[in-house]
Amino acid sequence: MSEPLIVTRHLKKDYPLGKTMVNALRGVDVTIGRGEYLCVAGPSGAGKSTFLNLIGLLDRATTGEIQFDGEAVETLKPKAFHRFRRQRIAFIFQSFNLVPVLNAYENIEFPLLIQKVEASERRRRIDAVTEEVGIRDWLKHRPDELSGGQRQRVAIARALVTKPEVVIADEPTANLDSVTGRTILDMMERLNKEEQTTFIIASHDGALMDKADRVIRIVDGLVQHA
Amino acid sequence: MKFLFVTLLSVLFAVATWAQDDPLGIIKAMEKKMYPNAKTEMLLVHITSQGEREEYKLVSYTKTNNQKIIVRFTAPARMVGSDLIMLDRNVWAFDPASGREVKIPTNLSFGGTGFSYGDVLRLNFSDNYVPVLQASDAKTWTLELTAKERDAPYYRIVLVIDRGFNPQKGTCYTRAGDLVKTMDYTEPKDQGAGTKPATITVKSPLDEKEVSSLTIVKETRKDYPDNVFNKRNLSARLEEKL
Repeated sequence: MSEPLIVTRHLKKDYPLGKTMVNALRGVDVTIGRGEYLCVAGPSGAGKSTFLNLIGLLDRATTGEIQFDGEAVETLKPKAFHRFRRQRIAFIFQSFNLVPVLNAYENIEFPLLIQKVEASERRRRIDAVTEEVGIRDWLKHRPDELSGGQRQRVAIARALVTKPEVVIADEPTANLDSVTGRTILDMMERLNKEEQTTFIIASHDGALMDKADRVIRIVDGLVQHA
Repeated sequence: MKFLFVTLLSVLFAVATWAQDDPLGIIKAMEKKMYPNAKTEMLLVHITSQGEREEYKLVSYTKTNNQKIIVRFTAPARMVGSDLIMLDRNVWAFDPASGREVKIPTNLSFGGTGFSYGDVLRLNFSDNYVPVLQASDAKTWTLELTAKERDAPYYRIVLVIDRGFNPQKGTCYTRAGDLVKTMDYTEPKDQGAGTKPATITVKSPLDEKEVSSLTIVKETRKDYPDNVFNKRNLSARLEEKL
């Protein structure tokens, strides 16, 4: 494995559900290398999304530690925690999560505005990434005018335009037909190899498991094979 | 007595000169002329670097020198219903599919054209920028405007305004000092609310073949009540019943 980028130690997450407590993650120890193309597999409800939410800094662990590039992110104060996520991690969701009132170009530009990237640099990056993922012809279209595959390409462009170190994708092909899903996976694999961006992808897709550098399985809140 | 008269005259002259060269006063006078309380029909044309022409037709309803504005699209068909409202510096776009308003940033590029949403909504300068007089001559003032907030469409604008309070040219820069856009105000016409430049043409050094323009087609002065300018009215369309 390349140098470690994300290291989790005894990661636990409990959710209250009514009067009971659900132990979604029960002590996960994983090391993810820089530039790795990692598949997180496991049955529904096993804790995959919880794990992605924690290492993606969308949520806080109940106990345990996450080191990101040597920094203990769990100890960061809320503002620094969110800034860290904004600057270094990007997400691709199963349901795309594009802003409905904005067209493809505007959706891709949005995270750059949040990062306060200058206008000229925004333009340069959007030109490059839209060429890369093959959506130059659809930039004027809004999400409801695009097919599922086109929407996911826009979502990938939006994720990559910020030049993140890590892209976290939660079931990115679940809402796509198998041919389109395969195309999207091929594209993510190519981007991983060309840009050396770390991809962490939760999926049941056998095609992805075949292509991944490594597959970890989460079952009942624990890593079964690391 | 003669001394007192001369002194009084000098003071009056100095005050008049100062008032005339007051940068904020100049900007406000320009905005009063450019953005009256009115219904304005506009045409936005975008020529892409491949030479393709895109057109957007829009109608704006404005109040208080553009502190409040609603913009409704009448063409192309895919944009109809996706209307915008700006209240102070906050912009919302209406999503007809969900019937909800979504807040968007003013510095977002409008559809990838040369204009930002702030430009389309004609975000006013006086509330969003701090003006400083850079130069003046018998015909024009040159003002340097610096954004009060980082989310303004441009960090710094050098704006030339003629002595009739018509903007002539704007040059827009990033915080790093890069030139991002030039805005030329041309075709002075009376479209119903006084003679002023009817067209803003935007060019960018980032893509020299790309040109965007926004033209006032018709302007009708009208004072709309405050209840027109709220988010719920994006779907209610009260102004059409007035």
